[in-house]
Amino acid sequence: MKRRWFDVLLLAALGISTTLVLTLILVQGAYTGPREPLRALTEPDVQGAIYLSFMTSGLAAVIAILLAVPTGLALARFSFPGRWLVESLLVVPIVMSPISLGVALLLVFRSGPGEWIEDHLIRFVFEVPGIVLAEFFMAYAISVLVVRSTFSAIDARLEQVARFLGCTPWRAFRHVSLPLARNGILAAFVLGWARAMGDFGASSTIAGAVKGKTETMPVSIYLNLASVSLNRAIALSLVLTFVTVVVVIVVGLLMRRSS
Amino acid sequence: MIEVRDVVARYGHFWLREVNLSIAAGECFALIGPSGAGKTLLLETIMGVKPPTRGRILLGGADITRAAPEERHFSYVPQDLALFPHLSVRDNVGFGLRIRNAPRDDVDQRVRSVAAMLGIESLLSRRDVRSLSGGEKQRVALARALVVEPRVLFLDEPFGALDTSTRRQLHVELRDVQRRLGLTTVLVTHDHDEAFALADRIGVMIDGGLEQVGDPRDVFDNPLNLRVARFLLVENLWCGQCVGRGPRQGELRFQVGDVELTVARDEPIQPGQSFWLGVRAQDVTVTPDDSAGSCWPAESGIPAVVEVVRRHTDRCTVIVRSRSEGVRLESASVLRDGMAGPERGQRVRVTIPPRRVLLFPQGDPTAGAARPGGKDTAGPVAGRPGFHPADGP
Repeated sequence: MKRRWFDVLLLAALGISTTLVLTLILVQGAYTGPREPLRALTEPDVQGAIYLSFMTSGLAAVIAILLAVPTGLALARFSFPGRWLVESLLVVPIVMSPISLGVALLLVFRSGPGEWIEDHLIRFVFEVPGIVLAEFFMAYAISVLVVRSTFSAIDARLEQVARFLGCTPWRAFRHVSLPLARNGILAAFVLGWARAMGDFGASSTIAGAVKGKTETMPVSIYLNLASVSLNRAIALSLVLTFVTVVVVIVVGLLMRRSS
Repeated sequence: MIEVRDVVARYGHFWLREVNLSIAAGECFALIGPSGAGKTLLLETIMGVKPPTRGRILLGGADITRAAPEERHFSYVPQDLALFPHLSVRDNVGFGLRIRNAPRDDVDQRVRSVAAMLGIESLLSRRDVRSLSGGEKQRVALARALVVEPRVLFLDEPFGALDTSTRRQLHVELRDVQRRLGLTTVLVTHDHDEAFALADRIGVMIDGGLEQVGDPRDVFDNPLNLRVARFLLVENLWCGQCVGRGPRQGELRFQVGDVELTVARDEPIQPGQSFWLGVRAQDVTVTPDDSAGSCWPAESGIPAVVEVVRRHTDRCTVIVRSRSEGVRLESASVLRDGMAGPERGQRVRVTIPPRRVLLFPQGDPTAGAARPGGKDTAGPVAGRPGFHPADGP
């Protein structure tokens, strides 16, 4: 009998959690109905925000995964003193307040080599590259985390055997570990991309919330809410939610296939 | 073929102590030893996975100490077999050939040929290697290792996860393939039977050192020291003291508790000298004390009482205790049809052929911290002067 009550308690918790999340998703569409947000999606400002968000987050996620794969592999393979500290440092952007990250980035480009880069190479502050940089940090941390755990789960002996079958270290990685890590790497990319796309705090701090210039979807939602343009805000919010739901499903499928 | 010269290697806090070893071409050499003895470390050092701290490894006279694994033309089957889970059985077997850019037709032909040799042709079309049984996986891993025609095949406890009958069957198959191909093979195992079934020679590793190398029968019958004897499961080990010459030329009498044992040794051993005496259970004969018509005279043998009887499928292990002071002896005998074997509490007589008693010096420096009486079946009586575990080396 005690056991049954315990099961009921667990199932109730599961039910409440699912309902809460479903409410968050459905309430956005239910508030205004689908027609108005769909119409807002045809407006050039809204389309511009969607384009900028997809472009910057896609670029940030690609750069992040390119760096996360060797970093995650190194963390999975090499054992060295203080590795736990390095691992902890790399995931700081996940737990750090996005605004703090934005402030830190702003300070980087206001002094020393950062200022020189800003003056002579590429402008980040209040510019689109600043969004990509901020989103890169958001995507990178989560990508490293997923890639590292993916490679850690692959038996290093597989590559060892491949070496004896004639592979150089690179070919052993290319023909054995990389195909096995494919789904994990894809999941890391998709999660990083979603994280980058949803960022508001870091990117708006370094790149500002300039309408039509650095107006990503989250920035646009903020600006539209501030100017009481609810339909636009909800349309963009629905797009972000849709992307998030798709990402969660894709990652779930990838992880299922990996295991 | 392979020469290991003065090799010292380190893994964490574990050291491989200066190992010297020669393995001839076409030979099957088994490295045996208890868990944590350094067998796999030595194997990985020879293979080039872990570089030695000192020493050299030669293959066919050429120094390969610093050569990369892929330059050594070795094949390796690890304990977990490490089949590539993302590849089909056919692609697993042909992996080494494709990596070496062998022509497609050649790959197909060689894969089929090795598969036929190991009886796994029907498995080649399987897409998921995880769906194979333990024995099938084993054969696929072996096929993958053999298809590249390695100069040396390394096997690291490859049969550990298999059931007894599959393991025995694979022993026969592997031995057959190894002999047919004349393939130099180095096998790591902690299973004595496996080493005896497969190897031309064995090397016993204990605590990072290669203690004894030789013909399996010879090593089994004549362990070099107490540590090897313990690992090779010499069941009866006692401290004993020489008390004089035996009844025949070349025989000595040793006192072990209340038991006097005759030992055939033509060595200058003086009365009063103490040794470790070892006797395998299979060399201890237990006969009923009142057996009429026994081949043993009633007064011969050590009077004892059966304390424990363990019946196995094909044999019977008996632990007896000598009647007066309680020295324990273990005996193992094959039970033939209709044989009942002794019963607990039965009075028996125990005989040990003098030639089957092994002697190890008490101050044996290689005996390490080995404890006499570590097994309940071999322990001398605690508390008796001269036979206490603390007296051990």
